[in-house]
Amino acid sequence: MSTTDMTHATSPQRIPQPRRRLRIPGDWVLSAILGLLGFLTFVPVLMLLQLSLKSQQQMADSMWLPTTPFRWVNYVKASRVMGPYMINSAVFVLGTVTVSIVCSVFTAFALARYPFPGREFFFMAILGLMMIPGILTLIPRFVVVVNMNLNNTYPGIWLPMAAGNQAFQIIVLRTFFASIPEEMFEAGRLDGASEGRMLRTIALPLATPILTTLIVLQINGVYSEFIWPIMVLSDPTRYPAILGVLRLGELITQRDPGAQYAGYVIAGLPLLALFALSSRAFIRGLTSGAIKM
Amino acid sequence: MGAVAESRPSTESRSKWQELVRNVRRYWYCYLMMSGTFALLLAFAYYPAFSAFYHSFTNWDGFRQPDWVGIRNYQEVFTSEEIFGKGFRNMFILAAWQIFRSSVFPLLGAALLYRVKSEKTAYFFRLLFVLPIVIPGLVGILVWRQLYDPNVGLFNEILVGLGLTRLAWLNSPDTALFSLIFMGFPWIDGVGLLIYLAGFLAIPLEIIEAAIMDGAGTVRRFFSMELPLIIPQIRLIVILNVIGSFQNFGWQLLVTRGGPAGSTTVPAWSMYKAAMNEGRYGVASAIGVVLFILIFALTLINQAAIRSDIEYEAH
Repeated sequence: MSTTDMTHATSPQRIPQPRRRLRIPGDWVLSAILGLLGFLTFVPVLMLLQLSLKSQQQMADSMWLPTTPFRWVNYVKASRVMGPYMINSAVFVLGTVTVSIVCSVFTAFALARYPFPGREFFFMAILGLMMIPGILTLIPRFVVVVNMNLNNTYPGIWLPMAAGNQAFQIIVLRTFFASIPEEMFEAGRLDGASEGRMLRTIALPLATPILTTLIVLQINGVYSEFIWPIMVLSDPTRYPAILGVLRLGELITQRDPGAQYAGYVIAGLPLLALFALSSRAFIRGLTSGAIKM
Repeated sequence: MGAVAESRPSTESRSKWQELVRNVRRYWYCYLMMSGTFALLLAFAYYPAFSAFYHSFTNWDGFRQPDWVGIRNYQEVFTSEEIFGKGFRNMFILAAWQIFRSSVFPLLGAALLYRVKSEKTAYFFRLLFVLPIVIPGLVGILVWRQLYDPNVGLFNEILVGLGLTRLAWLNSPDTALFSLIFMGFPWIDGVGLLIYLAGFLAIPLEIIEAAIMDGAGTVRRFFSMELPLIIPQIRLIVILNVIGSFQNFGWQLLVTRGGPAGSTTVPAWSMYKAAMNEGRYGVASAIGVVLFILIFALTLINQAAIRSDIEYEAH
């Protein structure tokens, strides 16, 4: 590459160009490298997909290369098993997100807008939580849940998982609520709106994008969490979908490994759908989460 | 409260006290608004944290009266071959790998992506690398376990195809930890890539143009310009990944149980096992506290990094 530059520079008809040590490779070179890396990243996913479409015999013949015919019936079998677990997951996610967002919105709004006595103390108490890693409290939290007779119940999932997200959500929301100009609330006050009404009609509509981000992030976290449900739920019929995956082997009656893999895929679908619906909020949440922590 | 206020001698402190009471009364609804959060936090964050510290000095089965044993649990943690000898060794190997992994591969991906000129192509690849984020961790572990299978696994088929010998992967103490490390190849983590890419895109165009005019090649620009400018992002990603790796025991819980022969055990797994399988909550609490101290030190570094990188507004 540099030799062509040199000949250009030395040829008399041409204006000398700025010297370049290394030409920027064209998009096709970059695309080839990125494409290879992307392909390698997706090898496990592709393998999972092709396994999920095979019968046991097809696997015995060729485990890691796709073979036809595709056994779509695997997905029918797996979805029959995964159905109830999906409902459990929906209940866990809905409950946790509702408790968590309601509590953090109220707390963040109070901390952001009112100079009540002890405000700094309460805020520091929440900031301090960022210093407590989940691993320190995991075991004692389990003991608390058992002592409150919440093990094997829905609130045993909802409340501790909602508590785990409070600090991050409150810090993000408080910053946002504090940035809303005071004049908007003054105007509301002059019109005789109550404080609760102002939260509902002024602050929350403005906070919709940030709330979406927080909710999407939390759905992702609650749906994928498996350690806490394993500890708290002793009755496997209450397992969320992510743990239902572990029971596929025993629940699909004939030895049918393809249907097991189909179950893995099905367990991933809700998050894929969430990503497709809200990729912007999803990405913003993940990146801001890393920065703000 | 009024009686207390009247017993105050000086009028100044008395009026301060009255003002406090007045403000508490005026803003009573603020405390009500925060009550949900603090009820949750008291039960599931503050009290458990206190409980972990207190019970780390006791012999405790989790539910009956604990016996005070001083530092005996900590002595056990630091003399146990499994927890300290193998567990901490594995944890630090995994953390060291995490430092390398999270700072090199997503950065490489971001640097390549940053150089793609076509916006459509760049968008496509960004989506491609971010998409694996939606695969739940548990599913990822189960799929990789299948790839590692010594009899029918993909990797052994590749090795045989290349004329090499099969590896036992997760089934041998020699290769089990390596198998955990190799998971996720080529290790281009989507979140890291996005944050690095955002860092690159924030570099002002004039600087880049000036560098190009001065004849700096693409490799030179990367090492002497782009890389130094995104050091804050790298430091942050690395610390967060290391903190995460200290707490992670998914593979151990789902697949390896710390084995074979303790080759994949980590302290977080020992903690879980001590409490949930052996009913030794005191030892588990002590392991939790030791991990907390390590993570706390890293968090302080992280906080210092954030303070110096990002300007916070005053209030």
